Amino acid sequence: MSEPRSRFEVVSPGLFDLVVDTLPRRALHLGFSETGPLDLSAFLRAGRRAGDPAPDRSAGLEFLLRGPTLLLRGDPVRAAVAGGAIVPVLNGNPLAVERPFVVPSGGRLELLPGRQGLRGYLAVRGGFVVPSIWGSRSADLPSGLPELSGRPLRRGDILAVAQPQTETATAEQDVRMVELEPEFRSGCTELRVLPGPEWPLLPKSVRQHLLRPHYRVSTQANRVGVRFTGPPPPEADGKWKQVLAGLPSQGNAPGCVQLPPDGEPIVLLADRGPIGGYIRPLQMIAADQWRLAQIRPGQKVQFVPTTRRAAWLACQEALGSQPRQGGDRCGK
Amino acid sequence: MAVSPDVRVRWVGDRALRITLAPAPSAEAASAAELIARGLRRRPMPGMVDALAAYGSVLVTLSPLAASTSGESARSDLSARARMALLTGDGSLAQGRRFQVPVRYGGDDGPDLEDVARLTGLTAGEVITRHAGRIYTVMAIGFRPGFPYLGDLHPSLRLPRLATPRTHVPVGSVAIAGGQTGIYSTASAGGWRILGRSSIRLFHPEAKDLEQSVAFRVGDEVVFVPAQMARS
Repeated sequence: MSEPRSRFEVVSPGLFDLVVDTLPRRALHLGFSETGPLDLSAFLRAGRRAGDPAPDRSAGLEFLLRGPTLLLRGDPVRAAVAGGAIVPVLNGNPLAVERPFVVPSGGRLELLPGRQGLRGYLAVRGGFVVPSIWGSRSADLPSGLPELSGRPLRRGDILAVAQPQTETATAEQDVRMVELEPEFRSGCTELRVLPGPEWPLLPKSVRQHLLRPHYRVSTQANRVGVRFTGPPPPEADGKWKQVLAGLPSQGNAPGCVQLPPDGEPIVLLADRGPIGGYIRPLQMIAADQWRLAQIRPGQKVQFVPTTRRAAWLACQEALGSQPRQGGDRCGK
Repeated sequence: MAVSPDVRVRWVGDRALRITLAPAPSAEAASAAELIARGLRRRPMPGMVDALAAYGSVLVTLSPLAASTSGESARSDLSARARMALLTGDGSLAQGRRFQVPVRYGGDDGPDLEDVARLTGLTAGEVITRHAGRIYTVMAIGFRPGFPYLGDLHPSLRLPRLATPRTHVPVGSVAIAGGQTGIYSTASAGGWRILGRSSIRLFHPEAKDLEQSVAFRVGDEVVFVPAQMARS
Protein backbone atom coordinates (compact mmCIF):
# COMPACT_ATOMS: atom_id res chain seq x y z
CA MET A 1 0.00 0.00 0.00
CA SER A 2 1.33 3.40 -0.90
CA GLU A 3 1.94 6.25 1.53
CA PRO A 4 -1.31 8.09 2.36
CA ARG A 5 -1.39 11.31 0.38
CA SER A 6 -4.36 12.78 2.19
CA ARG A 7 -5.05 13.34 5.84
CA PHE A 8 -7.63 15.09 7.92
CA GLU A 9 -6.58 17.16 10.88
CA VAL A 10 -9.05 17.51 13.75
CA VAL A 11 -9.45 21.30 14.11
CA SER A 12 -12.00 20.83 16.87
CA PRO A 13 -13.58 17.62 18.11
CA GLY A 14 -17.32 17.00 18.23
CA LEU A 15 -19.21 15.81 21.29
CA PHE A 16 -18.15 12.18 20.97
CA ASP A 17 -16.34 11.13 17.79
CA LEU A 18 -15.21 7.54 17.53
CA VAL A 19 -13.32 5.55 14.93
CA VAL A 20 -15.38 2.46 14.04
CA ASP A 21 -15.30 -0.47 11.66
CA THR A 22 -17.34 -3.66 11.41
CA LEU A 23 -14.49 -6.11 12.02
CA PRO A 24 -14.79 -8.21 15.18
CA ARG A 25 -12.04 -8.63 17.77
CA ARG A 26 -13.58 -11.97 18.69
CA ALA A 27 -12.66 -11.35 22.32
CA LEU A 28 -16.00 -11.55 24.14
CA HIS A 29 -14.56 -14.52 26.04
CA LEU A 30 -11.92 -12.27 27.60
CA GLY A 31 -14.54 -9.75 28.64
CA PHE A 32 -14.20 -7.30 25.74
CA SER A 33 -17.23 -5.55 24.32
CA GLU A 34 -18.34 -6.07 20.75
CA THR A 35 -17.90 -2.35 19.84
CA GLY A 36 -18.34 -1.01 16.28
CA PRO A 37 -20.93 1.28 14.66
CA LEU A 38 -24.25 1.46 16.53
CA ASP A 39 -26.22 2.24 13.38
CA LEU A 40 -24.68 -0.32 11.04
CA SER A 41 -27.13 0.59 8.30
CA ALA A 42 -26.04 4.25 8.24
CA PHE A 43 -22.35 3.38 8.60
CA LEU A 44 -22.46 1.20 5.47
CA ARG A 45 -24.55 3.73 3.53
CA ALA A 46 -21.93 6.38 4.20
CA GLY A 47 -19.19 4.06 2.92
CA ARG A 48 -21.09 3.14 -0.22
CA ARG A 49 -21.98 6.77 -0.95
CA ALA A 50 -18.34 7.70 -0.59
CA GLY A 51 -17.56 5.14 -3.29
CA ASP A 52 -15.62 2.92 -0.95
CA PRO A 53 -15.14 -0.49 -2.57
CA ALA A 54 -15.25 -2.28 0.81
CA PRO A 55 -17.27 -0.32 3.37
CA ASP A 56 -17.56 -3.46 5.50
CA ARG A 57 -13.78 -3.48 5.94
CA SER A 58 -13.03 0.23 6.16
CA ALA A 59 -12.76 2.45 9.22
CA GLY A 60 -15.09 5.44 9.42
CA LEU A 61 -16.17 7.96 12.04
CA GLU A 62 -19.22 7.80 14.27
CA PHE A 63 -20.29 11.01 15.93
CA LEU A 64 -23.01 12.08 18.30
CA LEU A 65 -25.18 15.12 17.37
CA ARG A 66 -22.23 17.34 16.47
CA GLY A 67 -19.21 15.88 14.75
CA PRO A 68 -15.69 17.23 14.47
CA THR A 69 -14.41 20.05 12.29
CA LEU A 70 -11.78 18.61 9.95
CA LEU A 71 -9.19 20.20 7.71
CA LEU A 72 -7.96 18.22 4.70
CA ARG A 73 -4.25 18.27 3.86
CA GLY A 74 -3.09 16.68 0.64
CA ASP A 75 -5.11 15.37 -2.29
CA PRO A 76 -8.91 15.75 -2.58
CA VAL A 77 -10.97 13.05 -0.91
CA ARG A 78 -14.36 11.66 -1.83
CA ALA A 79 -16.54 11.40 1.26
CA ALA A 80 -20.14 11.01 2.38
CA VAL A 81 -22.16 11.43 5.54
CA ALA A 82 -25.15 9.32 6.59
CA GLY A 83 -27.24 8.73 9.67
CA GLY A 84 -29.52 10.91 11.73
CA ALA A 85 -30.04 14.35 10.29
CA ILE A 86 -26.62 15.98 10.13
CA VAL A 87 -25.60 19.00 8.18
CA PRO A 88 -22.20 18.59 6.57
CA VAL A 89 -20.77 22.01 5.83
CA LEU A 90 -17.85 22.26 3.42
CA ASN A 91 -15.96 25.56 3.36
CA GLY A 92 -19.06 27.25 4.73
CA ASN A 93 -21.53 25.68 2.28
CA PRO A 94 -24.12 23.19 3.56
CA LEU A 95 -24.17 19.86 1.69
CA ALA A 96 -26.67 17.05 1.49
CA VAL A 97 -26.41 13.97 3.67
CA GLU A 98 -26.57 10.58 1.96
CA ARG A 99 -24.77 12.05 -1.10
CA PRO A 100 -21.12 11.86 -2.07
CA PHE A 101 -19.05 15.02 -2.03
CA VAL A 102 -15.43 15.83 -2.65
CA VAL A 103 -13.36 17.62 -0.04
CA PRO A 104 -10.77 19.70 -1.91
CA SER A 105 -7.24 20.13 -0.69
CA GLY A 106 -7.33 22.53 2.25
CA GLY A 107 -11.09 22.00 2.57
CA ARG A 108 -12.71 22.56 5.94
CA LEU A 109 -15.48 20.10 6.77
CA GLU A 110 -17.86 20.78 9.63
CA LEU A 111 -20.44 18.25 10.79
CA LEU A 112 -23.25 20.18 12.43
CA PRO A 113 -26.30 18.78 14.18
CA GLY A 114 -29.62 18.59 12.40
CA ARG A 115 -32.91 18.79 14.17
CA GLN A 116 -33.53 15.05 14.45
CA GLY A 117 -31.56 11.85 14.88
CA LEU A 118 -28.58 11.25 17.10
CA ARG A 119 -25.61 9.66 15.32
CA GLY A 120 -23.86 10.46 12.10
CA TYR A 121 -21.23 8.59 10.11
CA LEU A 122 -18.48 10.04 7.98
CA ALA A 123 -16.90 7.72 5.44
CA VAL A 124 -14.13 8.41 2.95
CA ARG A 125 -13.27 6.36 -0.08
CA GLY A 126 -10.72 3.81 1.11
CA GLY A 127 -11.41 4.42 4.77
CA PHE A 128 -9.29 6.03 7.48
CA VAL A 129 -5.84 4.68 8.36
CA VAL A 130 -5.99 3.80 12.03
CA PRO A 131 -3.95 1.09 13.77
CA SER A 132 -5.85 -2.14 14.16
CA ILE A 133 -5.71 -3.57 17.67
CA TRP A 134 -6.38 -7.28 17.87
CA GLY A 135 -8.23 -7.35 14.56
CA SER A 136 -10.38 -4.23 14.72
CA ARG A 137 -9.99 -0.46 14.53
CA SER A 138 -13.18 0.23 16.48
CA ALA A 139 -12.74 2.35 19.58
CA ASP A 140 -13.29 0.24 22.68
CA LEU A 141 -14.13 2.75 25.43
CA PRO A 142 -15.12 0.24 28.12
CA SER A 143 -11.67 -1.40 27.87
CA GLY A 144 -9.70 1.81 27.57
CA LEU A 145 -7.47 0.58 24.76
CA PRO A 146 -4.59 2.90 23.75
CA GLU A 147 -5.03 6.08 21.68
CA LEU A 148 -7.88 6.24 19.14
CA SER A 149 -8.79 2.66 20.03
CA GLY A 150 -9.82 3.80 23.47
CA ARG A 151 -10.98 7.43 23.29
CA PRO A 152 -12.94 9.96 21.26
CA LEU A 153 -11.14 12.29 18.84
CA ARG A 154 -9.22 15.25 20.21
CA ARG A 155 -7.99 18.49 18.70
CA GLY A 156 -4.87 17.82 16.67
CA ASP A 157 -5.57 14.15 15.93
CA ILE A 158 -4.64 13.11 12.39
CA LEU A 159 -6.81 10.80 10.30
CA ALA A 160 -4.98 9.64 7.18
CA VAL A 161 -6.96 8.32 4.22
CA ALA A 162 -6.04 4.83 3.07
CA GLN A 163 -6.07 5.00 -0.72
CA PRO A 164 -4.39 7.50 -3.01
CA GLN A 165 -7.19 9.72 -4.21
CA THR A 166 -7.80 10.69 -7.77
CA GLU A 167 -10.69 13.04 -7.17
CA THR A 168 -10.96 16.54 -8.45
CA ALA A 169 -12.82 19.23 -6.65
CA THR A 170 -14.89 19.87 -9.77
CA ALA A 171 -16.99 16.71 -9.27
CA GLU A 172 -20.65 17.60 -9.02
CA GLN A 173 -21.80 18.59 -5.57
CA ASP A 174 -25.40 17.89 -4.72
CA VAL A 175 -26.54 20.62 -2.39
CA ARG A 176 -30.14 19.45 -2.06
CA MET A 177 -31.03 18.73 1.57
CA VAL A 178 -32.71 15.39 2.07
CA GLU A 179 -36.02 15.19 3.86
CA LEU A 180 -35.91 14.36 7.53
CA GLU A 181 -36.83 10.78 8.11
CA PRO A 182 -40.45 10.80 9.23
CA GLU A 183 -39.79 8.32 12.03
CA PHE A 184 -37.70 10.90 13.86
CA ARG A 185 -40.27 13.64 13.68
CA SER A 186 -42.81 12.94 16.37
CA GLY A 187 -45.20 10.40 17.76
CA CYS A 188 -44.22 7.02 19.04
CA THR A 189 -41.58 4.75 17.55
CA GLU A 190 -42.24 1.04 17.34
CA LEU A 191 -39.25 -1.15 18.12
CA ARG A 192 -39.67 -4.76 17.05
CA VAL A 193 -38.78 -7.54 19.46
CA LEU A 194 -38.65 -11.31 19.74
CA PRO A 195 -39.09 -13.18 23.04
CA GLY A 196 -35.99 -13.16 25.23
CA PRO A 197 -34.74 -16.13 27.25
CA GLU A 198 -36.84 -15.35 30.35
CA TRP A 199 -40.04 -14.30 28.55
CA PRO A 200 -41.82 -17.63 29.19
CA LEU A 201 -41.03 -17.41 32.92
CA LEU A 202 -42.67 -14.02 33.47
CA PRO A 203 -46.26 -13.62 34.64
CA LYS A 204 -48.74 -12.58 31.97
CA SER A 205 -49.36 -9.19 33.61
CA VAL A 206 -45.65 -8.34 33.38
CA ARG A 207 -45.47 -9.45 29.75
CA GLN A 208 -48.50 -7.34 28.83
CA HIS A 209 -47.02 -4.42 30.72
CA LEU A 210 -43.79 -4.55 28.70
CA LEU A 211 -45.66 -4.32 25.40
CA ARG A 212 -47.70 -1.21 26.29
CA PRO A 213 -46.90 2.15 24.68
CA HIS A 214 -45.80 3.80 27.94
CA TYR A 215 -42.03 3.99 27.59
CA ARG A 216 -39.76 6.87 26.74
CA VAL A 217 -36.07 6.85 25.90
CA SER A 218 -34.29 8.20 28.98
CA THR A 219 -31.17 10.34 29.14
CA GLN A 220 -29.32 7.24 30.34
CA ALA A 221 -28.59 6.30 26.78
CA ASN A 222 -25.16 5.59 25.40
CA ARG A 223 -23.22 2.98 23.45
CA VAL A 224 -23.54 0.45 26.28
CA GLY A 225 -27.31 0.57 26.34
CA VAL A 226 -30.45 2.65 26.34
CA ARG A 227 -32.64 2.81 29.40
CA PHE A 228 -36.37 3.34 28.96
CA THR A 229 -38.42 5.14 31.59
CA GLY A 230 -41.97 4.09 32.29
CA PRO A 231 -44.20 2.73 35.01
CA PRO A 232 -42.82 -0.36 36.79
CA PRO A 233 -44.52 -3.73 36.18
CA PRO A 234 -47.48 -4.52 38.46
CA GLU A 235 -46.31 -4.91 42.06
CA ALA A 236 -48.83 -7.67 42.70
CA ASP A 237 -46.61 -9.89 40.62
CA GLY A 238 -43.37 -8.81 42.26
CA LYS A 239 -42.56 -12.43 43.05
CA TRP A 240 -40.90 -12.84 39.66
CA LYS A 241 -38.02 -10.74 40.92
CA GLN A 242 -37.13 -13.25 43.63
CA VAL A 243 -37.71 -16.26 41.41
CA LEU A 244 -35.42 -14.90 38.72
CA ALA A 245 -32.87 -13.08 40.88
CA GLY A 246 -30.46 -15.99 41.12
CA LEU A 247 -30.07 -16.64 37.39
CA PRO A 248 -26.56 -17.67 36.36
CA SER A 249 -24.88 -15.07 34.18
CA GLN A 250 -25.01 -15.74 30.45
CA GLY A 251 -23.73 -14.17 27.28
CA ASN A 252 -25.70 -11.03 26.35
CA ALA A 253 -26.74 -10.92 22.72
CA PRO A 254 -26.74 -7.46 21.09
CA GLY A 255 -30.21 -5.94 21.50
CA CYS A 256 -30.89 -7.92 24.64
CA VAL A 257 -33.59 -6.15 26.68
CA GLN A 258 -32.76 -6.45 30.37
CA LEU A 259 -35.27 -5.88 33.13
CA PRO A 260 -33.49 -4.95 36.37
CA PRO A 261 -35.54 -5.26 39.58
CA ASP A 262 -36.52 -1.57 39.44
CA GLY A 263 -38.64 -2.46 36.41
CA GLU A 264 -37.21 -0.09 33.78
CA PRO A 265 -35.99 -1.94 30.69
CA ILE A 266 -32.49 -1.44 29.28
CA VAL A 267 -31.66 -2.32 25.68
CA LEU A 268 -28.03 -3.44 25.44
CA LEU A 269 -25.99 -2.24 22.47
CA ALA A 270 -22.48 -2.69 21.05
CA ASP A 271 -20.46 -1.58 24.10
CA ARG A 272 -22.39 -3.81 26.52
CA GLY A 273 -20.52 -6.17 28.80
CA PRO A 274 -20.53 -9.57 27.11
CA ILE A 275 -22.00 -11.37 30.15
CA GLY A 276 -24.90 -10.34 32.31
CA GLY A 277 -27.40 -11.74 34.76
CA TYR A 278 -30.50 -9.56 34.79
CA ILE A 279 -33.77 -10.97 33.45
CA ARG A 280 -34.01 -10.70 29.67
CA PRO A 281 -37.68 -10.68 28.72
CA LEU A 282 -37.19 -9.41 25.17
CA GLN A 283 -34.68 -9.30 22.37
CA MET A 284 -34.72 -6.35 19.96
CA ILE A 285 -34.21 -7.24 16.31
CA ALA A 286 -30.96 -6.07 14.70
CA ALA A 287 -32.58 -3.59 12.29
CA ASP A 288 -34.33 -1.80 15.16
CA GLN A 289 -31.18 -1.68 17.30
CA TRP A 290 -29.79 0.48 14.48
CA ARG A 291 -32.91 2.68 14.51
CA LEU A 292 -32.71 2.95 18.30
CA ALA A 293 -29.21 4.41 17.90
CA GLN A 294 -30.88 7.44 16.28
CA ILE A 295 -33.64 8.07 18.80
CA ARG A 296 -33.18 11.01 21.11
CA PRO A 297 -34.03 10.98 24.82
CA GLY A 298 -37.67 11.79 25.51
CA GLN A 299 -38.99 9.97 22.44
CA LYS A 300 -41.99 7.68 23.07
CA VAL A 301 -41.27 4.08 22.17
CA GLN A 302 -43.10 0.78 22.25
CA PHE A 303 -41.90 -2.81 22.07
CA VAL A 304 -43.83 -4.61 19.34
CA PRO A 305 -43.62 -8.38 18.80
CA THR A 306 -42.49 -9.60 15.40
CA THR A 307 -41.27 -12.84 13.84
CA ARG A 308 -37.72 -13.95 13.12
CA ARG A 309 -38.49 -14.10 9.38
CA ALA A 310 -39.75 -10.51 9.44
CA ALA A 311 -36.63 -9.55 11.40
CA TRP A 312 -34.34 -11.01 8.73
CA LEU A 313 -36.27 -9.16 6.01
CA ALA A 314 -36.07 -5.91 7.97
CA CYS A 315 -32.34 -6.43 8.30
CA GLN A 316 -31.86 -6.97 4.56
CA GLU A 317 -33.95 -3.91 3.85
CA ALA A 318 -31.98 -1.78 6.33
CA LEU A 319 -28.70 -2.88 4.78
CA GLY A 320 -29.89 -2.00 1.27
CA SER A 321 -28.65 1.18 -0.31
CA GLN A 322 -31.77 3.28 0.24
CA PRO A 323 -32.13 5.49 3.31
CA ARG A 324 -34.75 4.12 5.67
CA GLN A 325 -38.28 5.11 4.97
CA GLY A 326 -40.76 5.94 7.62
CA GLY A 327 -41.42 4.48 11.01
CA ASP A 328 -44.38 2.72 12.45
CA ARG A 329 -46.47 4.47 14.99
CA CYS A 330 -47.37 2.74 18.20
CA GLY A 331 -50.53 2.37 20.20
CA LYS A 332 -52.75 1.34 17.30
CA MET B 1 -15.18 -36.88 25.96
CA ALA B 2 -16.69 -40.06 27.37
CA VAL B 3 -20.26 -38.80 27.81
CA SER B 4 -21.52 -36.00 25.58
CA PRO B 5 -23.81 -33.64 27.44
CA ASP B 6 -27.16 -33.01 25.83
CA VAL B 7 -26.79 -30.20 23.24
CA ARG B 8 -29.65 -27.78 22.46
CA VAL B 9 -29.45 -24.81 20.12
CA ARG B 10 -31.98 -21.97 20.25
CA TRP B 11 -32.26 -18.59 18.57
CA VAL B 12 -31.69 -15.47 20.66
CA GLY B 13 -33.44 -12.83 18.60
CA ASP B 14 -32.53 -12.75 14.91
CA ARG B 15 -28.71 -12.50 15.12
CA ALA B 16 -27.55 -14.89 17.82
CA LEU B 17 -27.85 -18.55 18.76
CA ARG B 18 -27.42 -20.08 22.17
CA ILE B 19 -26.12 -23.59 22.72
CA THR B 20 -27.17 -24.95 26.10
CA LEU B 21 -25.61 -28.03 27.57
CA ALA B 22 -27.42 -30.15 30.12
CA PRO B 23 -27.22 -30.79 32.96
CA ALA B 24 -26.49 -27.14 33.81
CA PRO B 25 -25.04 -25.73 35.90
CA SER B 26 -22.40 -28.42 36.20
CA ALA B 27 -18.66 -28.66 35.73
CA GLU B 28 -19.20 -31.04 32.78
CA ALA B 29 -21.53 -28.63 31.02
CA ALA B 30 -19.18 -25.71 31.70
CA SER B 31 -16.13 -27.45 30.25
CA ALA B 32 -18.12 -28.76 27.27
CA ALA B 33 -19.30 -25.19 26.61
CA GLU B 34 -15.73 -23.91 26.83
CA LEU B 35 -14.54 -26.60 24.43
CA ILE B 36 -17.26 -25.79 21.88
CA ALA B 37 -16.63 -22.03 22.10
CA ARG B 38 -12.86 -22.42 21.62
CA GLY B 39 -13.44 -24.68 18.63
CA LEU B 40 -15.82 -22.16 17.07
CA ARG B 41 -13.39 -19.27 17.56
CA ARG B 42 -10.64 -21.29 15.92
CA ARG B 43 -12.86 -22.40 13.02
CA PRO B 44 -15.76 -19.95 12.86
CA MET B 45 -18.94 -21.00 11.12
CA PRO B 46 -19.84 -18.79 8.13
CA GLY B 47 -21.03 -15.35 9.26
CA MET B 48 -20.09 -15.95 12.89
CA VAL B 49 -18.98 -12.86 14.82
CA ASP B 50 -17.97 -14.46 18.11
CA ALA B 51 -18.59 -17.39 20.44
CA LEU B 52 -18.73 -16.96 24.21
CA ALA B 53 -19.04 -19.70 26.82
CA ALA B 54 -20.57 -19.01 30.24
CA TYR B 55 -21.94 -21.45 32.81
CA GLY B 56 -22.72 -24.30 30.47
CA SER B 57 -24.04 -22.24 27.57
CA VAL B 58 -22.41 -20.77 24.47
CA LEU B 59 -23.67 -17.56 22.89
CA VAL B 60 -22.85 -17.40 19.18
CA THR B 61 -23.35 -13.97 17.61
CA LEU B 62 -23.93 -13.74 13.85
CA SER B 63 -23.12 -10.99 11.39
CA PRO B 64 -26.05 -9.27 9.69
CA LEU B 65 -23.76 -8.82 6.69
CA ALA B 66 -23.57 -12.57 5.93
CA ALA B 67 -26.50 -13.95 3.94
CA SER B 68 -25.88 -17.39 5.46
CA THR B 69 -26.97 -16.19 8.89
CA SER B 70 -30.53 -15.37 7.80
CA GLY B 71 -32.46 -18.62 7.95
CA GLU B 72 -33.05 -21.73 9.96
CA SER B 73 -30.06 -23.50 8.43
CA ALA B 74 -27.72 -21.46 10.68
CA ARG B 75 -29.22 -23.21 13.69
CA SER B 76 -28.81 -26.74 12.34
CA ASP B 77 -25.31 -25.90 11.12
CA LEU B 78 -24.30 -24.73 14.58
CA SER B 79 -25.91 -27.74 16.23
CA ALA B 80 -23.88 -30.10 14.02
CA ARG B 81 -20.66 -28.16 14.72
CA ALA B 82 -21.25 -28.21 18.48
CA ARG B 83 -21.79 -31.98 18.49
CA MET B 84 -18.73 -32.49 16.32
CA ALA B 85 -16.62 -30.31 18.65
CA LEU B 86 -17.59 -32.51 21.59
CA LEU B 87 -16.78 -35.69 19.67
CA THR B 88 -13.44 -34.56 18.28
CA GLY B 89 -12.23 -32.22 21.02
CA ASP B 90 -9.72 -33.75 23.38
CA GLY B 91 -11.80 -32.50 26.31
CA SER B 92 -8.77 -31.49 28.30
CA LEU B 93 -8.72 -27.83 29.11
CA ALA B 94 -5.49 -26.43 30.50
CA GLN B 95 -4.85 -27.15 34.17
CA GLY B 96 -6.05 -24.26 36.31
CA ARG B 97 -3.63 -22.18 38.38
CA ARG B 98 -4.37 -20.89 41.88
CA PHE B 99 -4.22 -17.18 42.77
CA GLN B 100 -4.32 -15.59 46.23
CA VAL B 101 -6.04 -12.22 46.12
CA PRO B 102 -5.76 -9.89 49.16
CA VAL B 103 -8.98 -7.94 49.82
CA ARG B 104 -9.65 -4.92 52.03
CA TYR B 105 -13.19 -5.66 53.23
CA GLY B 106 -15.76 -3.06 54.29
CA GLY B 107 -15.59 0.69 54.71
CA ASP B 108 -15.19 2.78 51.56
CA ASP B 109 -13.67 -0.25 49.85
CA GLY B 110 -16.72 -2.41 50.54
CA PRO B 111 -19.75 -0.10 50.71
CA ASP B 112 -22.28 -2.97 50.65
CA LEU B 113 -20.71 -5.13 53.39
CA GLU B 114 -23.02 -3.85 56.13
CA ASP B 115 -26.13 -4.23 53.92
CA VAL B 116 -25.13 -7.76 53.02
CA ALA B 117 -24.70 -8.57 56.71
CA ARG B 118 -28.13 -7.12 57.48
CA LEU B 119 -29.87 -8.91 54.60
CA THR B 120 -28.27 -12.28 55.41
CA GLY B 121 -28.67 -11.97 59.19
CA LEU B 122 -24.92 -12.39 59.65
CA THR B 123 -22.33 -10.12 61.22
CA ALA B 124 -19.91 -8.31 58.90
CA GLY B 125 -17.16 -10.54 60.26
CA GLU B 126 -19.14 -13.67 59.39
CA VAL B 127 -19.75 -12.38 55.86
CA ILE B 128 -16.00 -11.85 55.43
CA THR B 129 -15.16 -15.28 56.84
CA ARG B 130 -17.66 -17.01 54.57
CA HIS B 131 -16.60 -15.04 51.50
CA ALA B 132 -12.86 -15.52 52.06
CA GLY B 133 -13.12 -19.06 53.34
CA ARG B 134 -13.56 -20.80 49.98
CA ILE B 135 -11.63 -21.82 46.91
CA TYR B 136 -13.42 -20.33 43.92
CA THR B 137 -13.17 -21.47 40.32
CA VAL B 138 -13.16 -19.00 37.39
CA MET B 139 -16.39 -20.06 35.66
CA ALA B 140 -16.27 -17.37 32.98
CA ILE B 141 -14.52 -14.13 32.02
CA GLY B 142 -16.86 -11.38 30.92
CA PHE B 143 -18.62 -8.10 31.57
CA ARG B 144 -15.32 -6.20 31.17
CA PRO B 145 -11.88 -7.40 30.03
CA GLY B 146 -10.56 -9.81 32.64
CA PHE B 147 -13.60 -9.73 34.97
CA PRO B 148 -13.74 -13.23 36.52
CA TYR B 149 -17.04 -14.87 37.38
CA LEU B 150 -16.19 -16.99 40.39
CA GLY B 151 -18.24 -19.81 41.83
CA ASP B 152 -19.64 -21.02 44.07
CA LEU B 153 -20.47 -18.48 46.71
CA HIS B 154 -21.43 -19.75 50.19
CA PRO B 155 -25.21 -20.36 49.97
CA SER B 156 -25.90 -18.03 52.92
CA LEU B 157 -24.44 -15.09 50.95
CA ARG B 158 -26.74 -15.46 47.92
CA LEU B 159 -28.51 -12.14 47.31
CA PRO B 160 -30.07 -10.54 44.24
CA ARG B 161 -28.20 -7.84 42.36
CA LEU B 162 -28.83 -4.22 43.33
CA ALA B 163 -32.21 -2.93 42.16
CA THR B 164 -30.47 -0.09 40.33
CA PRO B 165 -26.90 -0.62 39.12
CA ARG B 166 -24.25 1.84 40.33
CA THR B 167 -22.98 4.17 37.64
CA HIS B 168 -19.40 3.91 38.94
CA VAL B 169 -17.68 0.95 40.57
CA PRO B 170 -13.92 1.39 41.24
CA VAL B 171 -11.42 -1.00 39.68
CA GLY B 172 -10.50 -3.89 41.99
CA SER B 173 -13.89 -4.00 43.74
CA VAL B 174 -14.75 -7.49 44.97
CA ALA B 175 -18.48 -8.08 44.77
CA ILE B 176 -21.22 -10.72 44.94
CA ALA B 177 -24.43 -11.45 43.01
CA GLY B 178 -26.59 -14.56 43.24
CA GLY B 179 -24.31 -17.56 43.60
CA GLN B 180 -21.29 -15.76 42.18
CA THR B 181 -18.50 -13.45 43.23
CA GLY B 182 -16.22 -11.40 41.00
CA ILE B 183 -13.56 -8.71 40.79
CA TYR B 184 -14.13 -5.52 38.77
CA SER B 185 -11.17 -5.51 36.38
CA THR B 186 -11.81 -1.96 35.13
CA ALA B 187 -13.80 0.94 36.57
CA SER B 188 -17.34 0.62 35.24
CA ALA B 189 -21.02 0.66 36.05
CA GLY B 190 -22.22 -2.39 37.93
CA GLY B 191 -25.05 -3.99 39.88
CA TRP B 192 -23.17 -6.38 42.16
CA ARG B 193 -22.93 -5.87 45.93
CA ILE B 194 -19.44 -4.67 46.82
CA LEU B 195 -17.79 -6.32 49.84
CA GLY B 196 -14.24 -5.04 49.48
CA ARG B 197 -11.43 -4.04 47.19
CA SER B 198 -8.26 -5.63 45.90
CA SER B 199 -5.18 -4.15 44.22
CA ILE B 200 -4.74 -7.02 41.75
CA ARG B 201 -4.40 -6.01 38.09
CA LEU B 202 -6.52 -8.28 35.95
CA PHE B 203 -6.34 -6.44 32.63
CA HIS B 204 -3.25 -5.29 30.73
CA PRO B 205 -4.38 -3.26 27.71
CA GLU B 206 -0.75 -2.75 26.66
CA ALA B 207 -0.24 -6.51 26.03
CA LYS B 208 0.84 -7.40 22.49
CA ASP B 209 -1.17 -10.59 22.41
CA LEU B 210 -4.91 -10.45 23.03
CA GLU B 211 -5.01 -13.65 25.08
CA GLN B 212 -2.20 -12.31 27.30
CA SER B 213 -4.04 -9.07 28.13
CA VAL B 214 -6.18 -10.83 30.70
CA ALA B 215 -4.76 -12.37 33.92
CA PHE B 216 -7.19 -15.20 34.68
CA ARG B 217 -8.45 -18.09 32.56
CA VAL B 218 -11.58 -20.18 32.88
CA GLY B 219 -10.64 -23.03 35.23
CA ASP B 220 -8.18 -21.02 37.37
CA GLU B 221 -8.76 -20.98 41.14
CA VAL B 222 -8.98 -17.89 43.34
CA VAL B 223 -8.71 -17.57 47.14
CA PHE B 224 -9.53 -14.23 48.79
CA VAL B 225 -7.37 -13.25 51.75
CA PRO B 226 -8.63 -10.47 54.07
CA ALA B 227 -5.97 -7.75 53.78
CA GLN B 228 -5.15 -7.44 57.48
CA MET B 229 -4.35 -11.16 57.44
CA ALA B 230 -2.31 -11.01 54.26
CA ARG B 231 1.45 -11.37 54.58
CA SER B 232 3.46 -9.80 51.83
